[in-house]
Amino acid sequence: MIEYMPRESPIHRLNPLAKMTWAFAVMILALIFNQIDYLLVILGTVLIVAVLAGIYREMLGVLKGLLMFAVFLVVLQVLFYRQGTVLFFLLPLDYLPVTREALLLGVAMSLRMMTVLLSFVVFLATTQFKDMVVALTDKLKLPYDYVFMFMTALRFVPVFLNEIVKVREAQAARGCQVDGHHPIVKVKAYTQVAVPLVLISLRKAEGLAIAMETRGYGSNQRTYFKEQPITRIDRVVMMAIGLFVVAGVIIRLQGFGMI
Amino acid sequence: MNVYEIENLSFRYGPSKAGVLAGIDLSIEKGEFIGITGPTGAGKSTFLKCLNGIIPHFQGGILEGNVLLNHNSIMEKRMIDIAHCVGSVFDDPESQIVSLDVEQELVFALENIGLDQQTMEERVTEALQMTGISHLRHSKTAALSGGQKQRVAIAASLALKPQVLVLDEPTSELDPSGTKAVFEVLNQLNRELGMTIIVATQKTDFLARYASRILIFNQGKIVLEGKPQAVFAQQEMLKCLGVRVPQVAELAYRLQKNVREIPLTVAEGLNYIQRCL
Repeated sequence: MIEYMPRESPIHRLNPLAKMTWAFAVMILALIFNQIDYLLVILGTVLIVAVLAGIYREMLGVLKGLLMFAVFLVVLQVLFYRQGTVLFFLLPLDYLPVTREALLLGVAMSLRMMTVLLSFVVFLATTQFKDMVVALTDKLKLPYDYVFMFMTALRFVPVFLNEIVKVREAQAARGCQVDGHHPIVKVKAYTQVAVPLVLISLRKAEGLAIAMETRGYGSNQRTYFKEQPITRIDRVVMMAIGLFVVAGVIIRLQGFGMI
Repeated sequence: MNVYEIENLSFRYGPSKAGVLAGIDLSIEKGEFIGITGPTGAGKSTFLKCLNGIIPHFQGGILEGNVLLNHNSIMEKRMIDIAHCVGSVFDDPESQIVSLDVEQELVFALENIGLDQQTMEERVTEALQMTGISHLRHSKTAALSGGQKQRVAIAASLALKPQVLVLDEPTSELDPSGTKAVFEVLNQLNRELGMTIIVATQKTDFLARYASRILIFNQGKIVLEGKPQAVFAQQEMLKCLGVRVPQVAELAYRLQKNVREIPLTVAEGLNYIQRCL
């Protein structure tokens, strides 16, 4: 689970909307280019933001975790992309050729994946969820119902993880096989845990709905305890991000940045 | 002044279902501490749901008779108006907590009814103080103990400044120290602010100590009603119903059967024994 990491940094102080804009901008830029040096520059900027936010070490840990998937992506490209100049063969007798293009494309894909994911991790790590809720509903005018739904889903993750453990133990105590290496045994075990879990969640959902009703939910005159003002710095940051994206698109339309 | 007037209240969850409440008449005065107990399935929870408007506004069924809250029928009030007068606390600490941290949880109701920021700040500080959890203000709700969660739930309803607090088994999942903390808070609210408290629980030891009136429910009816000293003296009947009798009362009863006012707390019990000897 990606968690909020409390720090005193200029990035933390930015409005959630500014940070969200940044994360989406990084995504757009990473998707329109597929040349390795361009993607490396974008990844570099994400890391610079992580340094500014004081969460550099944690983000390196995340990158290390992503590296495994990156290698997997490269292998996939190498196995299935057969065009271009052959560099060498994986197996003797000219089986499984590895082309230069496949390697470049694979590395570009992994860089892209790492850049996009890392930018969202930085966003989530520097933004408190409640601030995000206020920014989304009060400033972006998203319906509170949907934002609340999303927040509740997040709030109930630990509750359900806890319930899963309880149900598994209860089922195991009654002699159900809840663990096993055989895939069929595993699927069976999952249903034995899933059915009670669904029933429990329905009951919890009803309890939650009642608790919300008795506390005036849905009265359509909502205010917010802590507002998220958009400061001048936020505006400047968002404009700068916008300019970067426009510049990126123009460069791309000129034919640069593609293999 | 009566906060609640309940006139011949009957309720069934559906046309083919058995009656859950069967003709309840009751008035509740402002400032009372009402303890409700009785065997499971006696209709305690359903009765409380009629008091805080969940029935008929959230859960449907066939309701006869009337529930008057401050002389107005609860059926005609909107849920949000009831929420202003009646705070509700439920048994499951997990599902009644809505937010990720304590402060958010307390302002949830206040944001819903559209208060300004300064009023919210005052109400949050006050509610946290009243429940004795000011130090938990910035904690994550997931990290709290059961007793703390229930106190957060109470604080969250207090933030709306209700006249009445309705609690359905608020301590059923708590250990003795958590239970004690919750009842201490209720007692304080009742004594110092004159808040009307209506609590259903099986933990009669605590009811005996704090409640001003006890209602024993059985099969949808109030079968016994009165001061705790009088109600817990009727031990033959309570045993028949399967209601747990406070320990001190049981001991006193075994010593001497026909007393009108039975001792309930250890101090009262000591006094009583000295008189007997």
